[in-house]
This record gives sequence, structure tokens and C-alpha cells, in this order.
Amino acid sequence: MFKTVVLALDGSEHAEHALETVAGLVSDGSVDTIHLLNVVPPRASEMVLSAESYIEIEHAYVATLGYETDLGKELLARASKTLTAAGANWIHEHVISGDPARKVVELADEVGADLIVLGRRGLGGLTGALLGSVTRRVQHETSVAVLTVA
Amino acid sequence: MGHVRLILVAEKGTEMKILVGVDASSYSIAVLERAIELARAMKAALEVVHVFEMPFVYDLGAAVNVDQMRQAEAEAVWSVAQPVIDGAADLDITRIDLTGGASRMLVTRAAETGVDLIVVGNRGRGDLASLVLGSTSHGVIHTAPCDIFIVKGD
Ligand SMILES: Nc1ncnc2c1ncn2[C@@H]1O[C@H](COP(=O)(O)OP(=O)(O)O)[C@@H](O)[C@H]1O
Ligand SMILES: [Mg+2]
Repeated sequence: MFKTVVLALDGSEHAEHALETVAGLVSDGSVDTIHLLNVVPPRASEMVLSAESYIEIEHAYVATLGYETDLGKELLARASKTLTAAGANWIHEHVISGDPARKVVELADEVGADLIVLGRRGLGGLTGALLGSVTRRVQHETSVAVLTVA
Repeated sequence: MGHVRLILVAEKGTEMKILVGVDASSYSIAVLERAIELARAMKAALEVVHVFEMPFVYDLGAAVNVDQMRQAEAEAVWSVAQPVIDGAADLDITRIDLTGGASRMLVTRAAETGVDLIVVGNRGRGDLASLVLGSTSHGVIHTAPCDIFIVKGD
């Protein structure tokens, strides 16, 4: 049913549910290729607040980026295992730094995805809104079908 | 998509439910076909719902027969959708007509009948062709607590 699926994971509960849903579709033979994506967003403002010099900011940035990229890789490696167990043959893992919504939309275009799967909420969740900000933006900016999982 | 239920479905026999919204646009065929594929993959029952949105009638004394309009629209919708439904005789499919605001009625109906997944197109017959999301899909993603599949047209 779907040739190429982009599954965006941020470690949140809803994203975990999104993974389970994709695993379900995989075991039905409904998905060929899966691109897993974790985006490491810049945390510049936090670093500026805690740092005294520009060089310090840059060091902090490189350190956090490295640390969060490792976390992202671990997250996607675990997801890969789940999908492989469900019978997936083609899995690609992408850990990218940048703006999450934009990176999801860009990756989907690059790989010619016919479906994007997202959790309906993510790690933020302070606003009480039903829809997360990344999910809302992707919904509005992509021309690819989107499945949001609660 | 009923992530937990999807996994338990085989053991417990809980039936999954998908609700798909259709209007009279030809693009609804693609939306309905996608919903049918998903229903097959998930072994889900499918509710095909059309919502008649009340027109704004300024002069109730004028010769506007709302029932007639509702009837005409329903005929237009189902003449397009029914052949697609007939092609999926292996599935448990129900047809439903509602009246009201489209996204509100779809979401209310989904909540009432315990739907796991709502399938809608990104746009229907609205005029603002430049928007990526139409008002119905926009309303659904912002108010439905369940899983949502947005089919994109061109
Ligand atoms: N940094 C990220 N990398 C990959 N996917 C993400 C990222 N942030 C969010 N997502 C995806 O978007 C979904 C919704 O998250 P988001 O919109 O950020 O909600 P919230 O505002 O609650 O954090 C997540 O479940 C996940 O699928
Ligand atoms: Mg977030």
C-alpha cells in the first residue's frame, strides 16, 4: 500500500505508538521502505543564557549536538529492531540537526515518500493543545499523506 | 491507529473501526479507496460518512428547499462513492448521511461510535485551492482525539 514511509520519532509516547502502528502495517505487508527520522533541534537560546562567551556557546553547542545525536541514533536503532522483527526489509536511519517540522517535510520530498507518520503530540506537551507544533506544521506544509497516531 | 488494539486484535477479536468522510468532489474517490485499503490491512469495519452542510439561507421565504438540496447532494455523493463501495464486498461497510458542520459531525460521530481512525482528504470542494489543508481536514486534525489519516490531493 505504501512504497516509502517517513516515520518521525522524538522518543515521546505518541511517537512510540506511531512506531507500533507502522510495525502493524509492515507485518501486513503494507509497507516497503521506511525512513526513520530524529531531528535534533538547535537549543541556542538555552546556551546563550548559560554561557559567558561566544566560544563557550560554540563548545556547548557542539557537545549537546554530539550528545543528542547519539541519543537519536540509539532511539532509531531500537525502532529499527522493532520494525525488523515485524518483517521490514528496507530501513534507513536519519539523525539530522535542524528545525524538526522542516526536516520532516524535506526528507519526505527527498525520498519521494507516499506517507509521513507522526505522533499527534511529542515531548513538548505543555500547552494542552491536542496537536503538537511539529505535527501541526507538517500537516500544513507537506503535500504528502500524513497519518497522526494518538 | 489503535496501536494497542492493532496488536491485540487477533487475540481478543476486538473489531477496529475506520470512519471516512466523503463529499461530492471526484477527489473523494481516492480518499475512499485509501480508506478501503487501510480497512483491509487493519481488518477494520468502515463507516463512509457524508455530511450535508446547511447552506446559508438569508431569506427563508424564498423558494429554497433545503430537503431537496440535501437530497440532491446525497445523490451526487453516493453516485460517485457507491461503485467504489461495491468493489469492496469483502469488507463490512456502512453508509451514513449526517447534517451539520462537516468536521464537527465527523469527529462527533467518531467519538460516539468508538472509531480508531478517521480518514479525510486534505481538501474538498472549498474555494481556497491554495491552502494545503481544507477547513474540514483542518477541523478534524485539531479536534479529533483518535488517529487521523490525511489523504493529499493535487
Ligand atoms: N525532533 C523531532 N524529531 C523527529 N520527530 C519529531 C521531533 N519532534 C517531533 N517529532 C514528531 O512529531 C510528533 C509530534 O511532536 P510535536 O509536534 O513536537 O509535539 P509537542 O508540541 O507535544 O512536542 C512526535 O510524536 C514525532 O512523531
Ligand atoms: Mg516537540
